[in-house]
Amino acid sequence: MSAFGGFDLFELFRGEIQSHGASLNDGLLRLEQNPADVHPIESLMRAAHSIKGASRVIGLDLAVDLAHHMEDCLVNIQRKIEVCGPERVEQLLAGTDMLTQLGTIQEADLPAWKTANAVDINALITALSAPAQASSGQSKSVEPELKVPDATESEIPELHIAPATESLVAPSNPPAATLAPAKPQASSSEQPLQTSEKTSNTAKPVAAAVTEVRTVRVNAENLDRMMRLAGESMVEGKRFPQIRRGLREMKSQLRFARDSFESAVKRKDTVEISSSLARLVSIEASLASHAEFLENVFRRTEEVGTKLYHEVIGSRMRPFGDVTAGHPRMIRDLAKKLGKKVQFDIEGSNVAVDRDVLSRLEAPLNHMLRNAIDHGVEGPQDRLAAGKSETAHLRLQARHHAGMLEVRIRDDGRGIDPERVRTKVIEKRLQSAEIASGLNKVELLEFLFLPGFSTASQVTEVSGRGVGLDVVSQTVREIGGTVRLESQPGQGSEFILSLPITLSVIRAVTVLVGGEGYAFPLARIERIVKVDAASLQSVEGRLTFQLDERSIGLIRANELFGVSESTVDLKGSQIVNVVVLGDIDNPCGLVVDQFMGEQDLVVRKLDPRLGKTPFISSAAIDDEGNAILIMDVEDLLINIRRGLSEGGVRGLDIASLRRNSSGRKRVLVVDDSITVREVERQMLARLGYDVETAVDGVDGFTQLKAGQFDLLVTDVDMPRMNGIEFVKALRREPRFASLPVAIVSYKDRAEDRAAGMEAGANAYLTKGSFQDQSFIQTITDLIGEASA
Amino acid sequence: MTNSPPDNLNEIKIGLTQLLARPIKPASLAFNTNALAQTREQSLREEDTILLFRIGGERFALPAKSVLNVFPITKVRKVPHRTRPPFRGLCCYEGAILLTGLLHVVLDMPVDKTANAKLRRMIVIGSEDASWAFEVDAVDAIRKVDPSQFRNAPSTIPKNAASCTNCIIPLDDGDAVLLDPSAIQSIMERSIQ
Repeated sequence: MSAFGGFDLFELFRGEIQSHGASLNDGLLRLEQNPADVHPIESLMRAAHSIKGASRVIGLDLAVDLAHHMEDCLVNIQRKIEVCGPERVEQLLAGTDMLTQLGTIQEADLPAWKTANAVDINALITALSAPAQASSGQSKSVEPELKVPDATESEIPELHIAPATESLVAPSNPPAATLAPAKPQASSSEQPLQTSEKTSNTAKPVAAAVTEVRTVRVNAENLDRMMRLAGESMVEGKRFPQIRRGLREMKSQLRFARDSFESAVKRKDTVEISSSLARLVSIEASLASHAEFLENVFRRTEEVGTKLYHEVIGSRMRPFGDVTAGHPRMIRDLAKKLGKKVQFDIEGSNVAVDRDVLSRLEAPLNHMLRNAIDHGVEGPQDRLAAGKSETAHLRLQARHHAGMLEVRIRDDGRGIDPERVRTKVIEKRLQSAEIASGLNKVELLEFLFLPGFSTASQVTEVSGRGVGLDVVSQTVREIGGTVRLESQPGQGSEFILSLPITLSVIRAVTVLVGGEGYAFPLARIERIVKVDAASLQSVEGRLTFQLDERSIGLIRANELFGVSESTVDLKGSQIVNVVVLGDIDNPCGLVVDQFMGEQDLVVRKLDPRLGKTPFISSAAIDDEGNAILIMDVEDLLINIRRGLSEGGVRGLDIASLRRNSSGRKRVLVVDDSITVREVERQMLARLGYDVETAVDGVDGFTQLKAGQFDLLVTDVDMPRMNGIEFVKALRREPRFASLPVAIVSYKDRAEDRAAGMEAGANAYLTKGSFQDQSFIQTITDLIGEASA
Repeated sequence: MTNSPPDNLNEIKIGLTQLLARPIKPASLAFNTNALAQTREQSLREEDTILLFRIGGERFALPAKSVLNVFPITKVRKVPHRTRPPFRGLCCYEGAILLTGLLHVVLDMPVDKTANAKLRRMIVIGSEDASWAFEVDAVDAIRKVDPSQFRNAPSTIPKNAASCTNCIIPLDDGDAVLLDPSAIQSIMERSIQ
């Protein structure tokens, strides 16, 4: 499709279809609820007419015909030539679904779409051309089969929802294909085109090779403001050359005045001296004027820049209604299928939310709403029996609260019986009966978010497989939010989601580790604490501190990140800077060099060529224009826990605090034999060195990364990582490239010695060297005396 | 299967040693160099505008159209667990966060510690969505050159550099080595895989 003003024409068409499709859905549902109200009809006609026009531009005759006949029907209804009965609404909704599919497919898929839908559309056109039927049964012979979409299918694969409405019609000629994604305008472009087997054989696969031009809808006013500010920014920028010219002129005036003054002083020409001084005073005044001008330009530039920044960030915001537009239809279809009566209300459609948050929210919302209809609300009979109105109430509410987006989904259905949950917990052996009996309601409801946990007695098409709420919880966590459930048996349930308003900007605490900046999203950390070094306590040699009556173990960030030694000497500093991460039960403290403060950071994706970078989620540019890395706290915690159990990470030990305190050189002795370790440690300690020990290569490597050593003494034969591998691994890291290494081994063959030296050792000794002075001599040769 | 050594092994060894140790005549050197010189098709020869820059006291060139940007030296930060040279880290320019490499490592050139810090520049090559930045000691000029004058690179240059070197460009003020930007990118990208 030809480009149009820089945009792909089909992309524009898709946007228009989505927009008008939403209007059609909304209006038709209102019309269905109140057929006497003809107010929505005008907007419906406009929408159908616009789709017709747009389809004509694209050359989609099939869509033109369908939209034209839908428009004719609407005109007849408006002119009261016909009555808008439920059958006609169904037909119009079916037509809307057909047309809105065009908003979700790629241009390359158009031929397949035409082939797959020609029969259905022609049948629908025939039905729309026929006069409206008085009875509901008669029109069934001409309507095509309609499938209600499973909006969550792509996100929550196990939750299959087949036709959510009854099959309205069995067409005389079965359609070649039945398109599933009949989800109205809210469906994203990620929704795959689902066709039956028959069609999929003929249809082209979704054209992955087709380069899709991403377009983003931006509010026109917002764009106007951005253009105005960008223009102003350019104007402000043009003032700088003027300032530069003025300063250059003053510089030459100053030079002239100085030369004149020096010359006048030499000549003792008092008149010229006075004149020169007057010129200097004039230049001073001019300089002051320039400084004021410059100050104004700076201030304006900063103001314009800040406003522009906020406008750009604001342009990412979309109304919450964007994600809810398809929900009334979905609820209506699903309730109808399940024989339930539901009044669905949405509040806060205009609440502004970042488009990325919205897109991530779509699947969880769909799931929770479906769950509410399927399990939450009762059928009319049950409700009447329970003393409730036969129509259930379901409310979706969004608002900004405490700097977060709060989304609530509340139903007045049967609620969740905590005792049933308790029974399931015991049945599924998630807890012992004894512990389960002590769980309170809030704790029990948390189990509903576990994978595979469901209290539904039977699996339905909609839910009950225990798949879904765990995905909801996971998705919400991934975008930095929380979800909780409140429920009263017999009165209903409420899901409460607290989410960031935007993913584009995060509030983060920035820290320095090894001289480099890192940012921890505030929402992902528990606390930042400056701990008095004197208050640290040792538990099994590892340092901890007390926080809220909990012992928090410490780990050095530079060790985890594999970056250069901390620039802060813990001993020299009386304060240890700690970022507390993790949950209440399992916290850990990450020791960083310095806290830099809090900042709003505009999140940038890391270059995909870097692949998954451990602990890092994204990047940003700090106030000084330097790249700063944003931590993936979840990943960090997983790696810390894994590292602690596998020995790749060590808790901060007492020696770390003593580090460098003596001014003596430090030696790391690595040997799996405690006897040899102790012999070497004592020999070196007697010489005045500070000595640390490790039990194998892995342990030694970890200690080296965490500390600052002047020499490594290592054995060769060790479990997990032998000495040769250890030395080779060290030499691959630039920071250890020049660390003196002495291998001390029982192996004394020439080839063993050669292997050690080839690996990168500076000296190779046998353990017999302990008997003479060669061990000590080699150490002093390599690093000199113990005291620096 | 075993091969018994020939009876005159010592004589052969001596002969070979003499052969290898003999001084090479300049004419032979030139002939052999020419014979072994790389003869691959130089697609970049079609380019006639180059950016000239210096690293480690030597002059290099890149096709001007492969260069996205040249800007003053900026801070490069490291990335945890991505420390394998020639990858260096990330730097920022005009709001973009760029992957940054060490071109002197790719070219197997020493760092010129005497280079004037004020003349150092960052060069960005590649495409908007797959670029690499690297530091050079100085950027000299943009020149129009005559592709018909390009010479093949000698085969004696180090392996990495050989795979990045396209040809030699003779210039009035001395030769420059024309580098292949896609080969540079490829080597740099290997360091982060």
